[in-house]
Amino acid sequence: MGELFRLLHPALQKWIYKQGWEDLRDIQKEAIRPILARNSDLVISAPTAGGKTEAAFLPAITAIADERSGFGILYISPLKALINDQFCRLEGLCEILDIKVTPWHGDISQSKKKNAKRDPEGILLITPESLESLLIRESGWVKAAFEPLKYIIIDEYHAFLGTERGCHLHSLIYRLETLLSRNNTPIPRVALSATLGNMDNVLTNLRPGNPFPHKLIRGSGQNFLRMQIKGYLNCDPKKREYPTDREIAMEIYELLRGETNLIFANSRQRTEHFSVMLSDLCKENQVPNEFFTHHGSLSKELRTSLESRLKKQKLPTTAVCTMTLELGIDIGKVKSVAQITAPPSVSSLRQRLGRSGRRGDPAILRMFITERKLDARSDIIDQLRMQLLQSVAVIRLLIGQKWYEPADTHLFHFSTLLHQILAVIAQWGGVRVEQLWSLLCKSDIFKNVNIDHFKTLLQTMGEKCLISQMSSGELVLGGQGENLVDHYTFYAVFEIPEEHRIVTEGRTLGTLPIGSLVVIPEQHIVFAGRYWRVKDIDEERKVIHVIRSKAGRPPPFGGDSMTVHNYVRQEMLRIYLEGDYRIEMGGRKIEFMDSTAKILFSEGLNSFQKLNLRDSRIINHDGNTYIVPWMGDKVVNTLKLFLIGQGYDASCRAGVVEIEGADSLDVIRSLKTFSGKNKPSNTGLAKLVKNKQTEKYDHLLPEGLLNEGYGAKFFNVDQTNDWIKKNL
Amino acid sequence: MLTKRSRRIRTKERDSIIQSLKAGVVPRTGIQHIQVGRANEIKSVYRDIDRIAQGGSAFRLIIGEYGSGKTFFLNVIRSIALEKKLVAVNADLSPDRRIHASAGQARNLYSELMRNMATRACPAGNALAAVVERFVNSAREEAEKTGVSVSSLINDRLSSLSEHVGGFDFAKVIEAYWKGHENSDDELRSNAIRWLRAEFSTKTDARKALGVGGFISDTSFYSSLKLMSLLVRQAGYEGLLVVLDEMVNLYKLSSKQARTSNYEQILAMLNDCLQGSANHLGFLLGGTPEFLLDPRRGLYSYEALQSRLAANTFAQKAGVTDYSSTALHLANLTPEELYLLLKNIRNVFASGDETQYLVPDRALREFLLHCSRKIGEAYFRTPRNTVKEFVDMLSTIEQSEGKGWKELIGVVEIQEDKISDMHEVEDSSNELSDFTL
Repeated sequence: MGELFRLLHPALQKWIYKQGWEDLRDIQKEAIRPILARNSDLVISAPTAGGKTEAAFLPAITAIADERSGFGILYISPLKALINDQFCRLEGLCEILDIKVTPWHGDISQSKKKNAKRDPEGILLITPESLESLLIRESGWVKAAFEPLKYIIIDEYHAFLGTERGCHLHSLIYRLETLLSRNNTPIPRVALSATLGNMDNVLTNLRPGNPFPHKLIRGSGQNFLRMQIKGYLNCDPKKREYPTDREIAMEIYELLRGETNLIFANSRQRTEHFSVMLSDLCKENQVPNEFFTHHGSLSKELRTSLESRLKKQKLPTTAVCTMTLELGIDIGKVKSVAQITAPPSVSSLRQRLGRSGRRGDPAILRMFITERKLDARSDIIDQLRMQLLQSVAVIRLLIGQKWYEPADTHLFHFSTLLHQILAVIAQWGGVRVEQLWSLLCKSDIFKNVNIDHFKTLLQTMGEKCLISQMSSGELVLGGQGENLVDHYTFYAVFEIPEEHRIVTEGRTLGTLPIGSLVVIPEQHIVFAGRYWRVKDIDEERKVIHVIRSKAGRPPPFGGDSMTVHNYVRQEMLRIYLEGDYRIEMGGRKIEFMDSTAKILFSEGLNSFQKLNLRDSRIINHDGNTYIVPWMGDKVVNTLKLFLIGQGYDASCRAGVVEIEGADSLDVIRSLKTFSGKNKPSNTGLAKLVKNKQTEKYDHLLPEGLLNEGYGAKFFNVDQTNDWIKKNL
Repeated sequence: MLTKRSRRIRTKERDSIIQSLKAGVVPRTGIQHIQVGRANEIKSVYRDIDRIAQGGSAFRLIIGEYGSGKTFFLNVIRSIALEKKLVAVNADLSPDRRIHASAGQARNLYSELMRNMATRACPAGNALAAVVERFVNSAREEAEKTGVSVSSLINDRLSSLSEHVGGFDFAKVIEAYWKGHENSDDELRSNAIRWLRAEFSTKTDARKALGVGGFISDTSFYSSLKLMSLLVRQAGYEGLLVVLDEMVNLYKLSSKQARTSNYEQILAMLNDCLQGSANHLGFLLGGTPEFLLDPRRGLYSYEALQSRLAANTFAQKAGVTDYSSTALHLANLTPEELYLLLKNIRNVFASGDETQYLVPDRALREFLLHCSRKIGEAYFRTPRNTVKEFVDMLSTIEQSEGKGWKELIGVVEIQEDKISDMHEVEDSSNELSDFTL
């Protein structure tokens, strides 16, 4: 071990020897000097289990080792489970230096929090929501407790990028710095992130609007990858439950049993569906069950017991999961990852893939894609085999080009801004308008919001009694504002749906969101990978009592859709045009499809030719007009809404706009007016949409801002205009 | 009762007045030299002070707009109380200092009050140690006279404290101070003072330092003030006046529950004072009309307080002001009164010597005219900045004899008061400062 190693605290050096590490990893070495110097922000990017946590904490702990009162390190994580996990990892490390580590989130007991409140010290691990609660309720204490703060470490930073929670995070950190009077002497931020495509964006995003120097430390260690796409043909397309699902389950059972794996099935409903089919197979074959389900609606006990089973790796275990296991909870590496149906995005597939590949072993990815059998009535999406092609495009972008979706920088985040206005007022008491403006908007945290937006928002908040103004000009909370802030659900900027608890014999299995509830007594359901019969529903206490049963169907959970990026659709087009899906690497073309998938692929290519999509983007088919722009969902949405505005009956799916009963020449004529007299705006298109509430406080926004926010999120008039000019 | 303007002003007093005014704060001492107007209000509160000194109690809300001179008025009363041999404690409420709380904010307020304890001998504050010292000394003097031992005399006096809520620990701390005094144990003495200032926050610390099991906490805010009023009596003062300013901070509390519990505490204090169960104790609370009148979050939102604080409708109908009502409304200064105020300040600069006046009367009128041109009528609604600029101008003239007032008035920049609980982060843009909902 070298000279850098000796910069660490001697007790930590000893600890490292004790772990039996031969050497520090590159990122760990590289991070030592910049973190100790404390004159820059830092992004440490490396694959999962690449040693990021130690890279940040070893030098940071060295720097705070002699600090005895107040928190020296603030660690913020998007997940409670990750905090519990990091707590276990750090506790051993900090014990030898007698540094306290305090986990702090909704599930931590009051007595532990009281202890920490009495003697704030060492490292605080917290979620953004709990930090918000502290700033609002205990800002006096926060000011004293964080006085010696030296570092803010943000874990899973990529999960925050471009989201409302990311916006909240930046606002929280800036408010904390303001409270500590550290705006001019910034507290260094260390972001731990998965490797993303364009790291420059990540770097500049780490401190909005502030010219504090920043550095990037990038870990290497791209492992070998083995992967395959397996195709399935669903011969009975009318049936709701695909018969191919059972085929897939049997294949998975054969391939994955006996090892530790993760299966991603996109929605919670599908997750339950596959999980229960797989455990049924174990039962049928009279072998112990190794397939368990893991998603955000399950009770904490069920989730953690599965996590620790995965981590111990004593028993072969396969988790059928949603994106809850996408983020960095330490479950160790698994043998393989299976993806059923097309992955939502390149970056999310990247995360999932990062879970696989133990030391020395290649990562293994299997994708199971079902397409419907074609007949006379098949729509062009099925004909083009678009699900398969999208999966291929995602894989090629991930492996061939190492590209990932960048965060959307056009968003306004009005709902989050409203939340932060209330939070800042609740934190300080009376606040002047221009102080709010400079804290939230001039600071570039809500950088797309201009003064007129801001005034309109405040005006509406006043009308709705969320805020009121004193004769001195200071803003205080209004009656409605107080009601909102007083409720425990206020601290999160994202919607927490009201939920029913699912209970069997006094034991909570998990929760079901009320909005998606279609559960009735005597119904048989699947939950937590098992069959249950609903005994009764206690509406008052929001509890569903269930008992074990032999069969059932997963309840719908209500889901979220991701938007597909331009780049993915253009890659799809390239594949259709080239007629080859294989990835070129080192002069070799790499094959990754099974025979069914290959047949499906060539069917897709055939349809592409037959539909004449090589030369045109707008086609007549079955008396309808289809636009296939090969652009992301924003452009597709823009085209659809524009045509609806022109009186057409337009709808879209999988990136294709369908205009019922219209002639393509008419459609083209209409589209040509796009840049002229009929040129729409993103906001104008949003006006045509009925239900625009996508974020927590959207229902409190003035109509104008709601349209503008929605327009920026779902439409892109400029790109659409460019596309029309180029293609028509 | 107030001094005539022609009287000479001591240099020390003069300098401290000027320094305070320059910093934009109300002077602690010598305030009588600049006070103008409000004779009826002062007369009425003067009677309150008398009543406290005679063993009674008083409770007043001093209500006025921002910058109307509430703080100034409170300080005038405070200095009258000191003259009348009362002990005065004063503090501003803030988001971190309030009357009722559960996370130390009430203890913070109590600490602040004790740090600002003032007597006639120490009008600028920090008199707590002197008051306790005087308690011990007065016991010693009496012991010498009567031949009783000091310790039994002190125990006698303290036993009357012990009967009250929290009095046992309080008495033990005073006793510890006395022991420290006897044994020249400075640490023990300073620990006792720290305890009385509510600087202990855990039982363990209190027990280690002083051998008492309790400490002054959020819940003992009011009972500790009552004990303090007993102690100052036994030390030979006439009573305790508690001055709480910036009560609007309670209005700004963003939780209804927090506001209500603070208002409940105010009601308890008001009841004690008006029903005569408090002795030698008075409260003066300064706040804006919003703090009092707002039906949703002001004192009036609390039913029991509204009925007790309602304006005297009889006097209103008769078109006169009832200066004896619990809520005393301060009118804004008139431009004429502001003119008098400037005259007084000129007089202070000249140490009361008319021949030393730095500027003629005409300059005062010109100055006010300039201010009114610059920021409109706000200059006399919030006199603080006007006064500050005037003091700055006089200082400049004093230091550079060459400069005439005529050229200086032209460069006076006057700013409006900006009020907020939040830190000032940077120069905020002015695009939004006039924004109204």
